[in-house]
Order: sequence, then C-alpha cells, then structure tokens
Amino acid sequence: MPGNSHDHLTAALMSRRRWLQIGAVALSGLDPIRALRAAESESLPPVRSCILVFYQGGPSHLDTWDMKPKAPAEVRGDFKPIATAVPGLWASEHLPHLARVADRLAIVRSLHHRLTNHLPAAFTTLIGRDPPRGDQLFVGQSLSDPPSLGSAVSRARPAERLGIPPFVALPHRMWNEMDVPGQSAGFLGSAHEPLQVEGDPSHPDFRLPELEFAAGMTTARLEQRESLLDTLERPLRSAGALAASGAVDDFRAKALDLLGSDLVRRAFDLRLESAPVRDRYSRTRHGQSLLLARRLVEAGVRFVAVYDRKINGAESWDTHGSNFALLKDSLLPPADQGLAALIEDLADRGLLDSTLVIALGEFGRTPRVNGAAGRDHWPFCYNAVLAGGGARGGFVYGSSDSLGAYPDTNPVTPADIAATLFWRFGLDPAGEIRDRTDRPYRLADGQPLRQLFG
Amino acid sequence: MKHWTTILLFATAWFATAASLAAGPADKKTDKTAYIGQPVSLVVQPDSIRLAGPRAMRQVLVTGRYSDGIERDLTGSCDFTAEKPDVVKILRGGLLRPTAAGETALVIEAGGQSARVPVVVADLDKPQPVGFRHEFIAAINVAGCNAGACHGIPSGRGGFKLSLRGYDPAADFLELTHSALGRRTNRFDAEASLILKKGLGLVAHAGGPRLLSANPIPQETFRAWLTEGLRDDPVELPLLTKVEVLPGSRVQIAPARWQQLAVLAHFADGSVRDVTRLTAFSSSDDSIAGVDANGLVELKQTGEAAILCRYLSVIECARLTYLEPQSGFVWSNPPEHNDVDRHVFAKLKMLNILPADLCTDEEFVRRAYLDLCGILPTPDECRAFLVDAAPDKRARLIEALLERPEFADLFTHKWLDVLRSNRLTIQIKGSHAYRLWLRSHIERNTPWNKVVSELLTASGSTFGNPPANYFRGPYDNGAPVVRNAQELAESTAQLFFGIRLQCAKCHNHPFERWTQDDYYHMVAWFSRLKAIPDTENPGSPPQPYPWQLRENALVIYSAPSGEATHPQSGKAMDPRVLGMPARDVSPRADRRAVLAELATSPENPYFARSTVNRLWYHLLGRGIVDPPDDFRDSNPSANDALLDALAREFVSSNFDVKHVIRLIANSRTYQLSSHAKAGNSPEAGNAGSGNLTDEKYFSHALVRRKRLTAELLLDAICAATGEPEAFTGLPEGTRAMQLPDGQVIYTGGRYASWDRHPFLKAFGQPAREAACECERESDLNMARALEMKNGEFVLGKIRAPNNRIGRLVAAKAPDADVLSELFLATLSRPPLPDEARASLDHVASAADKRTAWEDIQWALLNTNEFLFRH
Repeated sequence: MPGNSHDHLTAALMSRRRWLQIGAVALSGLDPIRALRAAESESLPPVRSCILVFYQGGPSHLDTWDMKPKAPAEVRGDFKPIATAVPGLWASEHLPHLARVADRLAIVRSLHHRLTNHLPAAFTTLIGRDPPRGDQLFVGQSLSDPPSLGSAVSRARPAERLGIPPFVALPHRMWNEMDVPGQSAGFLGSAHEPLQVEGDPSHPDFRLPELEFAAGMTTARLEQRESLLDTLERPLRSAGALAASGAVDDFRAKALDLLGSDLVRRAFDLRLESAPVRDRYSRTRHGQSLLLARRLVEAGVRFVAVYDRKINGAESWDTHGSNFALLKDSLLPPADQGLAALIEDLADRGLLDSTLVIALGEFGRTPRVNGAAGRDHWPFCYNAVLAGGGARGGFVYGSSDSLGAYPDTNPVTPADIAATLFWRFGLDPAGEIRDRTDRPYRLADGQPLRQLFG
Repeated sequence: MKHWTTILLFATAWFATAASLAAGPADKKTDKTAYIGQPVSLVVQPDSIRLAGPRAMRQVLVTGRYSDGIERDLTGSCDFTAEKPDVVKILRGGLLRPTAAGETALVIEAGGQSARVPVVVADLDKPQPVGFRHEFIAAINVAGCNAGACHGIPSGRGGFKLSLRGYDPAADFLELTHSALGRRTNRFDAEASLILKKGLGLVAHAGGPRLLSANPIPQETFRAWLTEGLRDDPVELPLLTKVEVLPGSRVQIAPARWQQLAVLAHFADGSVRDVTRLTAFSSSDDSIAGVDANGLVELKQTGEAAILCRYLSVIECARLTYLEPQSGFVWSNPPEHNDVDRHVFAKLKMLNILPADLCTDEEFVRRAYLDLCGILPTPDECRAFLVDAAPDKRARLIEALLERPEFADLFTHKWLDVLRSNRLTIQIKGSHAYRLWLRSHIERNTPWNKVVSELLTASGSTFGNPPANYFRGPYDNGAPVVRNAQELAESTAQLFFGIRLQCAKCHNHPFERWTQDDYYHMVAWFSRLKAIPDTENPGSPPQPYPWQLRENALVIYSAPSGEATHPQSGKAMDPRVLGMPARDVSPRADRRAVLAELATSPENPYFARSTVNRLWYHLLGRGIVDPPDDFRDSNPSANDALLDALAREFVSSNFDVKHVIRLIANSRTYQLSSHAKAGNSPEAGNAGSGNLTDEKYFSHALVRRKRLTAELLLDAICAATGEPEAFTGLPEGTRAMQLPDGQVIYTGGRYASWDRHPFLKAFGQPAREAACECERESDLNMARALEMKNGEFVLGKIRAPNNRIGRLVAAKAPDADVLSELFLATLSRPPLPDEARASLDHVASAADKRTAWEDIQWALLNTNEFLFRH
C-alpha cells in the first residue's frame, strides 16, 4: 500500500462540506460524564494525555528500583546498585539510562495488593479494582465488568480533536492462556474500546491495517463508490426522521474520520522520525512502541497503553527461572533505554508536563531467589515509576521493609494509582460512571497520591 | 450563644436567596388573577385538620374545578386566612403549623370562590420527642447526607459512614452517637455537634451546607433530636404501613404550571402523619417537571413526568401531565385499525402530536419481513406483494409471515440472547437442545405462561430436559455447578417481570420501591437448587481451561433444604414473588412449582405487561416502557392505557404471543411511515404540532433505534449479495439467526476454544453473559463504519464469483434487469428513475461490467436505507 494514495483520498474526502458535517455530528454526539466534577481548583494544570507502560509478567522490584544491598545473598541477588542523578537514590546497575533521568522520576516503593495470579493481578492494575471473583487462575474481563483505565479515560475525556481515537493500545493484545483482563471497555461498550495495534513498530513495513484498503480497492474506486452512494442515499436523506436523528451522517462521518484522518495516519508513520531519534529509543519492538506512543500523544491521543513482552513468548518479565540473566541480557536494556528516551524526548518537546507516564507490572517478585535462580510472583510489595504530568522528580514515595517483602511506610494500592491518573486528568475520582443497567460506579476507588505532585 | 447569631444571619440570607430563586406560583396580583381564572368550586384536602403536638404540621392542597371539567392546583395562588390568627401559623405554600391550643377555621379564597376548613390545635404542652427512625432518618434522607455519592457509600466519607438512604437505622444510630469519639453529636450542647455545624456550613464541608434549604424542617429535626439528647426509638415503634401522595395523578393544562404535592405516612397503630417536608422528591424528567424541596412541582413543557416521593424506604409517585395546547392544532383523525391505535392516537391527540402517514407498500414489505421473520424479502416476494391490488394484502402478508419457520427462528433467537444460551456454559449439545426446545414452543405458539412455567420448574438432565439449562452455571474451577441463586433471582425478575433487582442485593434500592427483603424473598425460590453430573452424559474428563468444552450434562434438582438468608438480619427469608402476596409453600416440596404459578398468574402485575412490552420493543424499536426490561416508578411508561390494553389482550387470549404480535403488526401505529412531519400549520411556524421531536409516543416509525442487529445484518448482506456464510459444524445455508449461540468459529490449537464470528462481534452481538436486552449493542461506531466500507466480510460477499451479480452477469441479463434485481434484493424496492440513470451510466462507462456492478452493490449495502429498519 503506497503511502501517498492516502493523500488523494484524504483530499477527496475532506472537502469543506464534509468537515462541517463531521463537526456537527461529533459535537452533538458528545455525552459529558454525569456527576463528574472537575477536581477542586488545583495549582497543577491537568494533563492532556497518559502513557501507561505495562511490563506484563511482573518485573522484579528488588533488581530495579528497590535494591537491598544489605540483605542476605539469597534476597540481594546478583546486581549491584549504582548512583543516579539524584543523590541518595540508587538504581540497579542495569538501568543506566533511567539513572541519568532519575531527577524526572517519581518512584513508588510501597505498591501492593493480594492477587498472586497474573490475570487477576492484571485486572486490578489495569482496571484499578479487584476482580469480582478474587484471586483465581483464570480471570477475564466480561462485558459487564468495569472498564480498563484507558476506556474510562476515553469516556471521561474524549479526544480534543475529531478523528483522533482517544485510546490506543500497542503493539499487541496481551494474551496469557486467555485474553488478559484490563484491555477492554467492559460495560462502557464498544465505543470506548481501544484502537488496537497489532504489529512490530520497529519493522520497516509497520502500518495500521485499519487505514489500509482491502485487496482490490483503490483510491479512485472508493471515490467512485462514495459518489454512487451519494446518489443512492438521496431519497432517504430527505426523510425527516433520519435527518432529525443524525444517524445517517454519524455512521458515515465516523468512517471518514479514520479513513480520512491524515493526523492519525501520519502519527502512525514512524518513517517521519529522524534516524537519531529512532535510535535513541532503541530499534526494538518496545523502543519503537514508546516512540509511537509519543507521536500519538502529540497527535492528541488521550491514553496510550504500551504492553511490553508476550507472556507466552520466550523471554518475559515472568522470571521464575534465570531471573538475572534474563533481566540483564534481554529485559532491562530496551526497557531502560526506551523509557529514558521517552521521558527526555517528551521533555525536549515541552510535552512532559502535560503527559503523565506510568510504568509498572502487575506485581513484583519474591524477595527470596528460588532454586532456578528465578524469583516468583510477589504482589505484597513492588514498584511503580511515574514521570511527567507534574510528578515530583527524584522523589521516592513509600518504602519497603529490609527484605522488600512488605510496605514499611505509605502503602499504595493499584486503586490509588488509578485515582491519581484520573485526578491528574482534572477529574474527581469519586465522580460516577454508570454501567449498562445505570448502576453508578466511582471512577476510581482509591485516593490520589497528591504528595507525588507539585 | 455566639454562633446562634451567625446561623440566623446565614440562614436568613440563604432563605431570602432561595425564595427569590424559586419564584412561586403567580406572585404578582395580576398574574395571580389570570392564573386562578374562574373556578366553579374549590376542593380542599384535607377537609378538616387536627394539629396535635408542638411540632405538628399539615400541608393543605387547594384544587380549583372549572366549568370545562378540568382541575387546577391553586395551593400556591389562593388566599389563606385563619379565623383566629393566633391559633395557627400559615406558611408559604399552604403549610399549617400550630401556635396555640384552640379551635379555628381556615378560610380559602380564590377566583371568587371560597372554602372553610375546621382546624383543631391540641396537645401543645405534651412533649413530642423526635422519632429517630421516622423523623431523624427521614431528615437525613432529605438533606442527602446518606446518598451514594456522600456518606452513604460503603466506605463512608471523611471517616463518617451512614447506611445508604438510611436502610440500616440501628447502625446509623451507633455511628452518629458513638464513633469519632462522639464529636458528631453533642447531647449537652447541640450546637457544637459536628453534623449540625457541617450541615449549616459553619465548618468546611465538601458536601456543602445541606441543611440550608428552602425546606427548614430537616434542620429543625436535626436540632430537636440533638437537643432532646439523641434519643433512640421506643421498642414498640409502630411500623410504617403505607405512604400516600396527593394528588396521585393529574393532568394540568397551561397556564397551570404549578402543582403542590402532599405526602402522608400511615402507621400500623392507625396514625397518619403529614411527612411532606420529610420526603425526598425527584423528577423522572426535569425538562418537563422540576420539583423543589417542599414538594412544589413546576411544569415546564408539554409532556409527562413521574415525581418520586421517597419517605424512608418507601417510594410512591405522583404522575403529572402538562399540556400547552397548540393554537390551530387540528387532529388529522386517521383511521384506527384496532385498539392499539385507539390508545396511541388518544395520547398523541392529547399531546397535540400528529401521527405520520401510512408507510408505502415498499416500506411495509421490507419492514414486515425484517421485523416478523428477520429476513429480507426476495425480489420475487417483493414483486408479488407490490403488484397485489387486494386491500387486505398487508394483513394477509402478516398472517403468512407469522406461519413461516423464520418467524420461530427470529423470536427464538431474541429470547436465547437473554436466556443466556452460550456453549461455554451449557455446552454445544445443551445450546442446540435449548434452542430446539424453545423454537418448538414458539413454532406451535404454546401459551407463553406454559413455556415460562416449564422453564422455571425444569429439573433433570440439561441435555435430556433442555429448559433445565436455565439453571446451569459457568464452570467453577472445573466443577459443573448450578447457577447462583442470587443470579437466578435477578435474571428471573428481569426476564419475566422487566425488573432490574440487582441494586437491592446489598441495600434497599436507592431510587426504587424494591428493598433488600424483596431481593432475598426472590432468592429463596432458588436457594435449594443443586446439580450433580449426569452419569449418562459424562463428557470428557475435566479440562485444564474453563473454556474447553467437556460436552457433559448436569442433572438439576431441588434439595429438601437450603435457605436464602438476609445479610443484615441473618434470617431465612420465605419465598415471595415481587408484587404478589405471600403464599404458603410446603416445607419439602420443590418451591419452583409455586413460583411458576405466581410468576405467570394473570394477577401478576408484571408478567403480562413486561412480556407485551418486550414484543412491542422488538417490533417498534422502543418499549412502551423503555428500556424494555426496566420497569420502575422513575421510568414511567409512555402510554399506560396501551400497555394495560395489550396486557389484557395477552391474558384473555391465554398468553397467545402471536395474537399480540398480530394485533401490533396490523395496527396503523406499526404501519406509520418513518417520515416525520413538521407542524400542520407551517404558516404559523408551529413545529410543536408535528412529530419531528417525538421519540417516545410512536407518532412515526423510529428509524434511529432500528439499525439491523448483528445477525440480521449478516443475514441481510448474504441475502442481498446471494452469497451465504458458513459456520463451523452447522449445515450449509444456516443463517446467523438460527445459531444456537454466538460461539460459532472453532479456533482450535493448544488453547482449543470457540470464538464469535468477527462480523457479528464487531456489530454488537451480545456475549450472552447477562439477562439484559442492554447487552446487545445496536449503535454505530468507527469500527462498524469501517467494517461496512472496507471490511473483508462485506467486500468478500460482494466479490464472490458466483454471487447474485455473478449469476446475473453469467445469464447475460440486460443491465436494467440486473439493476432492478440488485435493488429489490438489497432495498426491497425498484430503483427510482434518477438512481437507475446514475447506476446504468456507471455500468455503461465502466471498462469491466462486473466491477461496476460490485460498486453498485457496495453503495446499496452502505445506504442507510439498507442499514436500518425503516
């Protein structure tokens, strides 16, 4: 699919008349969230976007941001701490890039919950609430469950610009024996499902299939078809009921929004980035996904979820065995380089204050190293890294005990992270969203971590 | 005493503001005279008044009767005087309070009429302590402190936790008097109590000064309860038996824009108390009627609204209709085909809305096939109907469609959605058996009460006795189980009574009449159900993953014991059906026999009405009560008479579903065009008398609500293009409407599982996890738009070599004939002349004819005329 044929299509579709149509429909279609009050006047301006980096499988907190060099060897592990840009803040020796930007990071060291299986833990992390049936091995997200954080943002903060999807997830849909919960809109319905990217952004042929024509279609032919459709549509368009309802144009406009959105198409085109910028993020699937996330935020996407690693793949964050070798050789380097590049790049472009970056897994790993040089699931204490959106750089919130096993001070839950996210979007976490039966839910059950900001 | 002054100043300022904002009925003298008009008599409620005790009060209602038979509330605009002014005080809005013991009379004058009501004031010297449950909790309700967004949330707010809307007064009493080291309430210095200081805004309070309201009684009640020393109620407190709202319902005609309400509480000891100022009011539609804290309703525009009046946990409502007659409105007097039209047109006429014209034959043939059989008419069927000149051809077509097998397919499919036929729960064999069982009943038109009884009482193997699948639950860690009794109570209430009971599980329903007791009474019907593996259908051994089908059956049975316990009281609840009197159930019998009898009884206030409403919803796109499975006081029906009439027909025809569908489909209402009308006097610019803005009263066909559903759309695309779809494991030619459930694509592999058809999924096919019509999405979104314009499924059907286009081209049919076939097959009508010209030009100028026809087919499939039932 040659890139420039879109330009013709775009030009053809985006005549002034069409734009007016789309504008009218989109505005009348806005449905502001009920009982959702803006948070009381805060000194910080609300953020425009959020990038959530999710390390599927559960990265070890003891080998990244909560090292315990004085602990016994079976807890301490193989890695050594290094100094960071912030005096007194130590990081793993395998996070040199993040150590460089530590003055922009806010580290939470007391995150905890009680769900020891991947799927329920992902549920609570990505939805911000406990799964209804607790800590079971198999937990999905049904159409009657609460929405993922991204879908809730999509509902509460529609995109500023028409034709921009509010919620994009990349570079794959997460799967762990079944669809991982927390990736869907749940009871908010398909309007708030993410635009799901499936593909490797570091691959030269990477593109978004939704913007591609099906086989046999060309721009010219679609234009012809659109004009035929115009002719055939005429009789019914005169019908008052349809005209009054706006259903007709809504349907058409929404398709045009995406097929015709140059902004979105360009945002997805990583070839428009210079080689040094692409290199800065590392030319890996994860690195280029983070670069894509930055481009999407620039285009006005509200919430970008970047999922790192497939759990059924060879090397995942679920390091039950060879924890140190895996972290050192394949897991940490792209995560370290990519996240540091993202934060610096956002800052360089003046986007860091308006973009909240949250990076975490569904849990941490056991303090004691097991017989296979691995660490097992440990949700009782682990880390999250926040940056941007007004987060206090070089700040550590909460602490763990001497083994990194349980929070020592200021315990934080995933629900608090969720509340923080909505609060930073200028939304009251106590505001309501409603399910299909009109039952009200709080936007988030936790309390915002106000101390982390300002 | 220092802060007293502050309070008074603050309160005075607040009242002044509140009063000026809520300008009462007709304040100015001239307005007042015009408003009152010329009543022929005044009716005063009550006709005699006794105020006993220092805190007694009584809301008086004054109604004017006029020569044309109409009534108008004059409470806010008449003149009240007391013959002995020192005995009673008459407050704004007609509220009477005692000032001295004695007897007097209240004299009411309006529009030259007058009335006299005797008043006795007594017992002013007797103490009248505030009742905690009957007054203080009611005051908290009115102030809203215990609302779901405030302290009523389970976790509380700011450490202060009340039961949601006061459903647990005992816990509230403890919380108020003992927690927070007793700071919230101070029995020695009432004014130092935190609840008062926060409520008055003297201390910062995120919820605002809740006690500073135009209604001063909640504040008075708070203060009195605190001053009297936080008294709990005596043990022998009489129960609240009934709440009565005056007037129950009323039609008011402009300029009568105001209606005062009065609320009376009846107690088991025979006492009746005026609780108007201790009642929380809300409107079902604020754009039509708004209500203030004193129960004064302002009617804003033509329409109907229910005013919900909640005293403690009891909700009653006043149904108010307001009419602003349109000058020059002339009723078009369309012929009425049957009773349906009589009721629909009566409502439209009253509201000055004109019905649309009758739809054309082209529109009708398409609508009838889609709505009654879920299929498009073939080109031959279209032609046959269109050339038929007989005047009764529509009725004959309806009759013929009701007898077609596709009718049974369609209505079976609709019910299987909400009966949750899903192979991940009931297995493949179960889903086929479930479907065939239901389909055979629908095909034979078995009386619906019999079908539902069979379902609700089903026992035995889920393969051998298919309705037993209603009781099969999803795997629980590999173990087959009966569906949870609470879920069964909820789905039964929703499916057969149209009532969403879910909220009452954890607390009394916050906005509705259903209490937690009602919920667990319903649960009790199912608390004894058990399941064991069916040894004759053991299926494969347990699989590691819950989505791997085992093809095993369960045997459902009722155990001799097992109770539903109320989470608050821990008491075992006896089984009762919502809205029906209690019935003795023999201790060891299967309770469900009694459930089935009560649930489907002609006396059941919900069964017939919710069933006919659901049928109406499927045919018209909107329920008379809408959403169709959400009957509640705050969601009043659009036409009570119509709903009642259909329910009566349903009962008297012995629950004959086809009879009701026939009645609806033959009505002129069903056959109205989708073309809405502007006003009937365009020169007056009177749009209100047309029906452009009507979405509720069935004045025209509702296109917007009738997008072809996922299965309907898939089948219609296949029918239009002449290219059927294949589903795994099902015979060739199976339509989506005939699928036993949604899981029809076998994905195989290590994680062997089934998935839904991607097109059906994209267009909002429900996963069948909920017993709610709301699970099906029929709106439009970006993914759906793209799927129609650029999706593989649609383009594949258009491109298939041997589809309709392929066959017509191969047969060398003339262009005009091909075009006519494509139009009839897709839009159920021949092309209009300009459409024919444009299309034929396109074909003539194309290098490749086949490609050109594909373009036309694509355009036809993307028209709204195709995508909607219209």
